[in-house]
Amino acid sequence: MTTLPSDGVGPPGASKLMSAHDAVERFVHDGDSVFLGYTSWANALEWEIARQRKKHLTPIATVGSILLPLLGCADRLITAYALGALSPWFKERLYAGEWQIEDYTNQTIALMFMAGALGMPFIPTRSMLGTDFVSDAYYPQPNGFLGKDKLRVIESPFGGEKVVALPALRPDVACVHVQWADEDGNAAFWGGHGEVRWGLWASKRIIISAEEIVPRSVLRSDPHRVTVPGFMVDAVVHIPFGALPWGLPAYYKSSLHMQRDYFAALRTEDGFREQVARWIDGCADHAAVLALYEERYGAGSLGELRVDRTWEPERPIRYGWKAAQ
Amino acid sequence: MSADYSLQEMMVVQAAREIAPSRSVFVGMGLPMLAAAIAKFHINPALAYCTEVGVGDWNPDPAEVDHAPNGVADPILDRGAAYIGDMVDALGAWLMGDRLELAVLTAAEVDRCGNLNALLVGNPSRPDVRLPGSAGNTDAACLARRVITIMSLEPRRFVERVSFLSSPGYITGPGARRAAGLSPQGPNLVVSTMGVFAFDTPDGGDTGTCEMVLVRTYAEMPAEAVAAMIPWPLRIADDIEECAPPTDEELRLLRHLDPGPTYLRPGRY
Repeated sequence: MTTLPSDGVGPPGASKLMSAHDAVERFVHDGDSVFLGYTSWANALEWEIARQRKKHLTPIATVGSILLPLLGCADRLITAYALGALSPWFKERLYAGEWQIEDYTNQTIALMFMAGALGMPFIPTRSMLGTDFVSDAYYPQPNGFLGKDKLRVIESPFGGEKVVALPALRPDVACVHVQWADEDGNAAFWGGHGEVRWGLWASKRIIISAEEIVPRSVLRSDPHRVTVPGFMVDAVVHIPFGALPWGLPAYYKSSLHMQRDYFAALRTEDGFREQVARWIDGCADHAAVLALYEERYGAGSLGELRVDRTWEPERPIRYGWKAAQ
Repeated sequence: MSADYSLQEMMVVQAAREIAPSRSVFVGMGLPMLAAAIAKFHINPALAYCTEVGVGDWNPDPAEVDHAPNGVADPILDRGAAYIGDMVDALGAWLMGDRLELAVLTAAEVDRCGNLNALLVGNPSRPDVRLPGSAGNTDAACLARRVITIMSLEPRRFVERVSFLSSPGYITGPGARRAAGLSPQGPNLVVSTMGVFAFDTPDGGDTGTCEMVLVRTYAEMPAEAVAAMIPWPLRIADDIEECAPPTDEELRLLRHLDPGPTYLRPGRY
């Protein structure tokens, strides 16, 4: 009997559920570019990557985290907004050449993902025209906006209008946190999407962490909910509060306590190392992070982040195709 | 009218008044979120309030709104929205596709030709300040039909030429937007803590000097005092007007929407 070649993971229908440790160990490799979604923050997965000290990564997100460069896990950040970049320590090391930032914009990163998802080599935009991002005067810059071979002002082959050619982005792996996923990897994110759909669709491998694992029938009964279908997904991890310290629409708010402590700690290398020792290396997994959270911020403090969930669609849609009896 | 208000509050209230006549607005991070919320809830309930993560026409029951969105992705924006999509929708189809009338932005620096800088201050190869980045600021400044910029008037923020041009206004002057491949834009405004500025160009950047002109002052803030804060010889409009101080209702709503305060906490802007 002939077996057709397959790039699928495991036998068809096998559960893709696994631990964060196993998903990261198996699907995030040294040297990878990693899409970490904004609005769908996979913070628990990012911390697992940090815990395993992967090397030479390139995190990509419109709103990017500086954790992995600071920890020596990443050489370069591709982002439109590097959260925490105001840290004097981060800046000093950036301009000392320890890591680089490729600066784009929210729109251009989303479009570069779209080009990657569609298998195109580049995509045109009219954003960035007239800016110093596309000005030769600023290149080469060793540590920032590496524009010369990244962005190019070209003329439309049709009307001759100027456009910026953006190279496609195809991350090696995506780590995204969603509200619901099932064991097949079908994943539903709701709330402002940012770049999450195109980032996922552009990525070669996909790890989904989900607040809840729902039975397989749930999302297949309402496929309009699905952000990425399971046949594109490699691993599913069940991680309650997996976006913490960020929020997740319809589940919990951002933890202002934890964010304040985190950004305060970023100001110095000592402060940062202390945070890493406590929250990442000091915790075996995200369950341990949550236990530590309650220990530090008070019993019941996680529950206080929960949001009121009484709002539901006034009239759910219905599907159908058979002639009505 | 109320005598007890700060210059920051005056700036945000005046920005709300300038935003309100539009039908649709792209609302950038920071103070624009607060000013556009006041414009919507106090002056123009039909204003379509949109953000870059893909929220289209946020239209909640005002009685439910206990704070202005704390960012472009605050889930409060999902409540009553006509549409929730993504950045390709908002920054691609709505902005680049010319579906919105106005963008409201803020930045670290603004210059004589209305260019903004949200990336770094100082020498680009070794800057004094490295900001997080431009996010959607560049996209909106390039692509929006009109821009209102909300900026505290401080010497470090109003500069003759931005140290990094992340977000184009009129770039180097007349004709520069078109030469760069961008559409004309305007009338643009800069709403500051000390007055409101327009730009000397009748056609969105093709002709005129394209430089900043003081067009509206605030109570007890004469044009000469504003000009003294600006590092280039500031032009003052012949028909300059004085804005009314914030009303009690404007201030009440502003303070209700900014509990804490978060947006106007001392030292933030």
